[in-house]
Amino acid sequence: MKPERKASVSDLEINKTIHEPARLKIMIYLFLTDFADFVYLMHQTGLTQGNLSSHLSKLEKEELVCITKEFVEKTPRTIISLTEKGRADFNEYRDSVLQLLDLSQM
Amino acid sequence: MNDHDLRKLKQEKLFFYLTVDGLAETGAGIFLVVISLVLLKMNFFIEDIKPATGFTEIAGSNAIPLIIPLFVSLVILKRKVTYPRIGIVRFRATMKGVILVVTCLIAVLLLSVILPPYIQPGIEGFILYAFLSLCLIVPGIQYRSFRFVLYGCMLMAGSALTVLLNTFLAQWMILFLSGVVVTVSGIVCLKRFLRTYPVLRNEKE
Repeated sequence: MKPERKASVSDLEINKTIHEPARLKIMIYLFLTDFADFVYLMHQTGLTQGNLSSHLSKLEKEELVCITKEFVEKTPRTIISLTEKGRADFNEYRDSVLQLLDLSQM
Repeated sequence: MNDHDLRKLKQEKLFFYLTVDGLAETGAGIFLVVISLVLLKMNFFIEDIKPATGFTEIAGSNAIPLIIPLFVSLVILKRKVTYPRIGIVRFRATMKGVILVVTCLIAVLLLSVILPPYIQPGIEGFILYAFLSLCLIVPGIQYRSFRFVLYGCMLMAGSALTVLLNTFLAQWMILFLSGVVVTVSGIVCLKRFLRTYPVLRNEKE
């Protein structure tokens, strides 16, 4: 019977889409919520409108977030939420990073 | 970032989101001031009438018709003032959080309705206010929002004085002054909020 091999740093895969600092911030704030709008995310992440918009587009392309647009009293509002895949991927990303940190302390 | 860190971050953000605009405090302060003015009109303490029901019960019965219009105004103001400035968010409710809120509500209900006949008059109010003041002081310290610590201490001191002095005039004064302090603090917060968070226009997507 072969002894079970311990996971090494090279075994761990880090989701590069989430790993980017600005997108990681967005993912963390969305992970805490059911949904948030564009203005809320802008304040929390400290990103500019254009910057946040481009990061959200990238996350949407990867199917990590769901973006819906609506008009409230003639004002546009963009509601963003994590998809099931986004939530699962973020949990996976957290596990990978925690494992990596554990390995680095060995 | 483990589960504990995320939970702490969520609680901090939720507390900030609910209190940053000072609207809830302004509402609570106006509520206390109006209740005290209604009691002033009733002349209980001027004529030193001591009815069978206590101060808390009289104040409470007068408060009920005020709650709905104040709540509706709060919702409308949040929609018009707060949401365009800091956005809209709905935090994920966890079972632990729901259990905590329900436990607190049951504790308040027990202290205010069920216990009074069985314990010494005046003491139930003190226990209730002490509990409520802890509900203000603990998050106030945790999230470094010292105005909530002030409200908690004020509530605690007010309830202790109410038990010690046991006159309607003293109770009325405490209620009125607390209302004024909370209203002024809420308005100051609201003013600071309006200055710090301007309305964002031309949302791009």
